[in-house]
Amino acid sequence: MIPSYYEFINSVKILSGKNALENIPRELRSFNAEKPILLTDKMLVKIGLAQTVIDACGESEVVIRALYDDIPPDSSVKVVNEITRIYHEMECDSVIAVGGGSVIDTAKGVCACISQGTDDLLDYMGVEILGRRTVPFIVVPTTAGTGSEVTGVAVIANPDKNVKMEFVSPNVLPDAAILDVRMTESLPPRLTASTGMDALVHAVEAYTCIQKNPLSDAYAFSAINLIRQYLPRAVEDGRDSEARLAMANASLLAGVAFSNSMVGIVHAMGHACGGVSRAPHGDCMAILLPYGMEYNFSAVSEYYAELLLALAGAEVYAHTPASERARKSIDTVREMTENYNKICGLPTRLSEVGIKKDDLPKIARAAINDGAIIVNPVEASESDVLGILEKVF
Amino acid sequence: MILWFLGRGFQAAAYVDEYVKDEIRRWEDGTTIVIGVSPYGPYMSVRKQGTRLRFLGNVNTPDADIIIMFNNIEAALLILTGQIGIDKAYAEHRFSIKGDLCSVGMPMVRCLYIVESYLFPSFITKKILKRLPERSSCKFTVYFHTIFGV
Repeated sequence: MIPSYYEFINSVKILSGKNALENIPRELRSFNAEKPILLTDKMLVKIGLAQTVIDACGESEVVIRALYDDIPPDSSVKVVNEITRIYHEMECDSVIAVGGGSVIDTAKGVCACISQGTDDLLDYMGVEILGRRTVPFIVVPTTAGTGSEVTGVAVIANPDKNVKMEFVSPNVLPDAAILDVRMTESLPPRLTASTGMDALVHAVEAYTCIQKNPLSDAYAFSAINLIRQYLPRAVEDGRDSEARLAMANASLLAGVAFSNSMVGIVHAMGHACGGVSRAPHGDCMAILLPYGMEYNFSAVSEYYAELLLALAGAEVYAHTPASERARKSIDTVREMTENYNKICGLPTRLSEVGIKKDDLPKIARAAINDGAIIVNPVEASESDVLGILEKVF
Repeated sequence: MILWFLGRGFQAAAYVDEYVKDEIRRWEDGTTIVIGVSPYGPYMSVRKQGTRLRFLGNVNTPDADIIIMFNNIEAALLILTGQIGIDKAYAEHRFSIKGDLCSVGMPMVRCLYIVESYLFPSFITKKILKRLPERSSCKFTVYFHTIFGV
């Protein structure tokens, strides 16, 4: 179905493959930039991934002018404001983010502050408020799941109010995303599965939310195809470069898809689980996906039926009667989760990720206040969400 | 005129509907919402005062907690005359929202669904709402308080 109106944007240049990192100086040069601040976290410095990026800029005119590695797992507006101050003090001229969702979202916030000429990001909280970005911005993702390198969203915590704030704007998109397998090959199997399932949820929700459109569908479908083929290989053998690169691309494709069609109830609940109980995002996504699909079944079974081809492959699709394909898609997702549970211990219940039964009402309340719920194909009240959470607990 | 009707309707629903009252009870006193058309208006503002929501008139309040600006008058008319729902308008990038989505923005959207269900005839609400919200009052009461105030 063609929407009566839609918008789509992906302005990010993609550099994917062997030695992609070595092209960072060329990318910066194209913006007349050579004094970047490199944002990362302490773990990535410790395991040498930050150094790999610095080395890749080695024989060039690019000099990493400042390195900030004190970014916490939940990016915060205070950190964003502090980095902005350092950026100006050190007279940097560009931003490189090396990390997962938190580092990348922090970097998006920093670029927004620099571009808007503000020292407080809170002034720009909301949807489609930010003006154009003026600082060159390159992202090197170190997980294959968040897709943050191509999404027009930054989620940044406000520790004073204990809330996560959303900044939704195409102006937080970076100039370039570098996909290099050296960045993800050291991810352990459990984290590989968890982040891979996160990418799967992005794609499934992007394909079924009310903001879907033909372009986001194409990205989502391709992402699921790659995840079906390569996630098992990446989990089994982290040194499988082809599988790692395919998963990095799957994550990116799913990111483009959901940046343009948004995500729904699974993410609303997942964000709330993270906010209330500090439960790992990817784990929550894997746990909640089949239940979210069940909830939305009546409205989007037609789309689930289409997705069976990508989720299970041509053979299964061809051998499944048309009337059973939608249900088979949910069964396939459930089998995937259970399979990764056996292989690497991916959890299948919320009680396994540190969530307490008493937290569920708070999570339900937080979920209906999450922006993702607005584009979910089925309306969800607090009691509806609580019902799902109790079922999956 | 339509924004006046929406603002007064919101004020009325907050006075008589239990769900809207409960949502607004959670907001900090003084919480202010502006809905307008970009770039020069018109606007309407409402503010929480005590347990009630007060319609401030067809005025802009630049330091409001939530500012919803329709991209243009065509977008505003599509939504305010019930041709498309708030969720579809969001999906189609018909407006921008400045402010904290979680603590005020999303609760306000849920309240607006209920306000729409009072103000619009049911053939429109069936078309623009994914599910008809439960109402604790009747349309006549909300219309009465919309026109004559609370």
